[in-house]
Amino acid sequence: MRLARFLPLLALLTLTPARAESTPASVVNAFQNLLLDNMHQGAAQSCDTRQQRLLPSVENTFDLPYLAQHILRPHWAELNDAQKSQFTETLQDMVVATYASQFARSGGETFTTLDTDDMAGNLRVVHARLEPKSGDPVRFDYVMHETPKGWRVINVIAAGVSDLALRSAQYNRVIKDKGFDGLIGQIREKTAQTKTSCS
Amino acid sequence: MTSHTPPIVTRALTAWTRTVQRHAMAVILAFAALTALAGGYAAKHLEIDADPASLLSRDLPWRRAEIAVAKAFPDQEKTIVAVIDQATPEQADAALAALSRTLSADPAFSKVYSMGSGEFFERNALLYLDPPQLDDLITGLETAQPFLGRLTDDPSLAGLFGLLSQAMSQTAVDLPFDLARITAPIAQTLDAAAQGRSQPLSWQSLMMPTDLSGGMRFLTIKPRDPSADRAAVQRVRDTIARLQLDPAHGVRVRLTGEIPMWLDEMGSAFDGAIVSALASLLLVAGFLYAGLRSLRMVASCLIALLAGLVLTAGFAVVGVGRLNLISVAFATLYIGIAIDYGVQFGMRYRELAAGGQSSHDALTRTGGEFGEALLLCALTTLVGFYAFIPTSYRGVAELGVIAGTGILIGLFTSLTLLPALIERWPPRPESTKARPLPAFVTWIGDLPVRRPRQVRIATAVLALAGLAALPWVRFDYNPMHLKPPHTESLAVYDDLMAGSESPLSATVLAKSPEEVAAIAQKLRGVPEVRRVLSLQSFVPQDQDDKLAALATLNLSLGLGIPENLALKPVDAARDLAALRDFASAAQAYRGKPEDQAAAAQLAARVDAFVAPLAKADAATQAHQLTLLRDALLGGMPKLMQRLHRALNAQPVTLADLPADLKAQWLSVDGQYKIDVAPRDNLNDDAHLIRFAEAVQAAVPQATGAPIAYVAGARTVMGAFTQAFVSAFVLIVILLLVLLRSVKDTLRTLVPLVLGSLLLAGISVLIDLRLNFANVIALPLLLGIGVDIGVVILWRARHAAAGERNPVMTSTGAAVAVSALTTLTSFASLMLSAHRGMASMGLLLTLGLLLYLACTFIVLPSLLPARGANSAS
Repeated sequence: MRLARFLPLLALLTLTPARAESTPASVVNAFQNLLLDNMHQGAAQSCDTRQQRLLPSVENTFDLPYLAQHILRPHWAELNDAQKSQFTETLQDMVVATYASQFARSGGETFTTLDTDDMAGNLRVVHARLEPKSGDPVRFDYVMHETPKGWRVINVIAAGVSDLALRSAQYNRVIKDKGFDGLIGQIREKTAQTKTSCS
Repeated sequence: MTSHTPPIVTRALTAWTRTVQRHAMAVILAFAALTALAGGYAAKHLEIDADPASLLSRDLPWRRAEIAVAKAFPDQEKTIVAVIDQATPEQADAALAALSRTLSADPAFSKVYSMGSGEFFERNALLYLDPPQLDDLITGLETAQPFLGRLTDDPSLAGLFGLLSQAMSQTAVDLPFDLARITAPIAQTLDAAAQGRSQPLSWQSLMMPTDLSGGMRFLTIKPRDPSADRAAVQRVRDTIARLQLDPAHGVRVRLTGEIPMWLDEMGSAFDGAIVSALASLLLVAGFLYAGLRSLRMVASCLIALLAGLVLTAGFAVVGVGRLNLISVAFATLYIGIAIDYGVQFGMRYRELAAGGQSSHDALTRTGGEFGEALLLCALTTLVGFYAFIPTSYRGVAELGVIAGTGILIGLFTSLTLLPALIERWPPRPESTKARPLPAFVTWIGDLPVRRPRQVRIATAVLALAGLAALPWVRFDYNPMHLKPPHTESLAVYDDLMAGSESPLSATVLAKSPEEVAAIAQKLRGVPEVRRVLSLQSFVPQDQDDKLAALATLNLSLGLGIPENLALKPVDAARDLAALRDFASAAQAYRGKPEDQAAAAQLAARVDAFVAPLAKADAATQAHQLTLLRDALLGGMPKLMQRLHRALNAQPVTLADLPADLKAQWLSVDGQYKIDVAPRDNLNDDAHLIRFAEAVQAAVPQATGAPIAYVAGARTVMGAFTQAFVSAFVLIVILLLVLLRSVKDTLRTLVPLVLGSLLLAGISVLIDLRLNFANVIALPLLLGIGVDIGVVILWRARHAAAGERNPVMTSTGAAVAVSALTTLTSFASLMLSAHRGMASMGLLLTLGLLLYLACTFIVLPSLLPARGANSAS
């Protein structure tokens, strides 16, 4: 039988260990679960510990170099390589510190990952919802693109506010007024403040 | 002074007059028949050619270039342009779309297009911005994102006022625009809604303070039937009215362009011509009676005048075939000049009849002797008119043919029909005692004879003064200054000239994209050039960078720019609650004092809107709230759609440009059009000349309106100079031949030269400029002015014994009366709404007055002292 000849092939296919085929939703899920876990740990963890746990997750969830390039698009070409990596690192620090500070204690919230939509340019949008114990749920939309390492977030839209737009408008204004170094300084200052008030 | 007149002319004229007198009735009947024939023929076949382009010869090199462009791009010639402004961007775009759609579907119009508007430009608008402009816009939109994002999330009154409440109570929430900028428009909309009216809020003006289209939209319309211009314009106006595109609905649409301008001009030219012809006829009749004192003679003169006019019109059909914008003035000119012959003839006849001769003999003598003076007058005037025929200024050349030949006809009529009429119906013998003139008139009149030397010196001095003024005489290069001033078409045109979208620009044709690039390169280096446009200009520059920027923007604006946003239905409870909350928040707002005041005012308006609804029934609530919602948020979906499309722009290549656009810049036979816009306002002649010369220096084959105006003006000036000089020379020759005396010729010419120089001086003083229309006045004035001198001189030669001053005689009186009749005709031209004709009237009136004064005062001072010499 012809089919018999194909059986070994089929077996090969099924026996191949299923790679953790990351879908956009799964990436978001993993990240949100970490946030929830941090919140449930609550006071048992220090802010530093939370940041240490978040760092690899943030690296694997967000495409920070891409974000960096797009946030500073008008001025990106004027920066040298050293400045570019400096900005990306500073940004990363800031993101990590913010998540560590914002998602520190649990109040009974739940994250629900909803559906995934397609977007132009081969992007995906993962819709999610943060439901507090009482009050209106907040909508989160994660815009993601595929990289060789898997799906990564390139914009977070919280309750309709686009993070990329906010940062872009703000940072480009600062660069115009205070220059690149001024921007780095300002972001670092803000990060330090966040860390200080982070419990 | 002996008469050098060859007796043959006198004898011939005398014989002719006798013949006419013998067969008076037959002559009258013959003229009646001829006039009726000519009149009927003219009425049926005379055409009016109102095309200003045909006023100048087609063979001039710059005209040929113009014609080449018109042939390559026929859809851009003879169009109506609708200009939409005084509206918010949304309303202007909507008006443009509606008008464009309706007219495109109308079979009366072959082409309807707009530049810079339409689906293609909406989609790619952002690609056409300068990189800095685009960056500004991007920053603006990113800043606006939180606001837009949340508003599109909840596109309802509750959503909007919720956001605004937050803005009022939390200074941390950034609005993408100053609070002050939004409170006033919202307040107005609320007010209107409270009264049941809809006053839409313009989001585009708030989000993008500079309207990318400069506040104006243009729609070019080409009628299908080139002979139905008036109907086409009316149809467009009717469509505009039907679509309710008027200030009451928030938009202003005005018409300009070749067709409306030319209709307005034609209308005013013809109104002017008819009014002035009638006015001059009335005034002429009045003066005739004052001079001739006999109703019968007045009637005879008028009949002869009108007969001659009709015959001239008949000639116009046969000889030229049509009247143009300039030659319509022939009627007035004819009346003013031809009546002279009648008046002078009549007054000479009366003088002789009063002197004791029988009516019959007086008539014969008048025809014979005075006839030769009239012949000379007619010939010199003729020369003035005919001098324009060989020039390239066809408009005036045609007037020259018609009016010049009319003068001959007028002379013929005066020497044929008029004597016949007088013979048949002689005036009743009445007292012809002349009333004494006022003392000061006699004093002035006798001055040249009492003090000839002083008058001669004064002449020399004034002549020098006039000479000094000559270089300052100006020509007005812009034919637009001749157009009727209070018409819509010209008002819009002037607005555009003063703005950044000058309707006057130079055009160059090129055969290949490489040639286009080379020419554009050369022109961009010319400082008087503001912008060079060609088909290639419509392919945006730096697309890669811009598209990258737009991709980023698209990403950062996220999902907040939906292509099809639907406003949420009105929820009375929710919306009213949000309104009330907002009112309280606005009252409690603490910020800058002016913002606080604005916020308080807005709160008051909100209260005023909400109050009556609290007690109203559900239907009224729903109705009012929907009205308010649509007024405040109605513009959002369209704005979102435009942004969405603009953010998803694709690269644009030449091939992607819409066919409509390509047709405007690339002709069917493969020629590329290059449009060269000026930096300065070309309504100023100095700028106009500089621009035209600069462009032509860089690109000799350039053409277009500015170049045409300057070249046209130079052609006309050349024509005028040629005509003036040739008229002068011919007149001198004529005078020499017929007067047979160099001294007498000089005596006739000196007042003429003085008068001309004084005219130059006065026009400089009152800033009266030469232009395309009035330039014919000058050679004409020469012809008429010399008449006065000729007649006075003739009188001096035929002076009665003891007569010292030929001016203070009945001939002088006759000349004065006839000059007055001519003056009133010319002055009536000034009533014309057509500025060209009016300036021609002014120049002719001034000139004639000057010539009259100069001849009357200077000529007698040049005569030899009266001795025992007497006329033969």
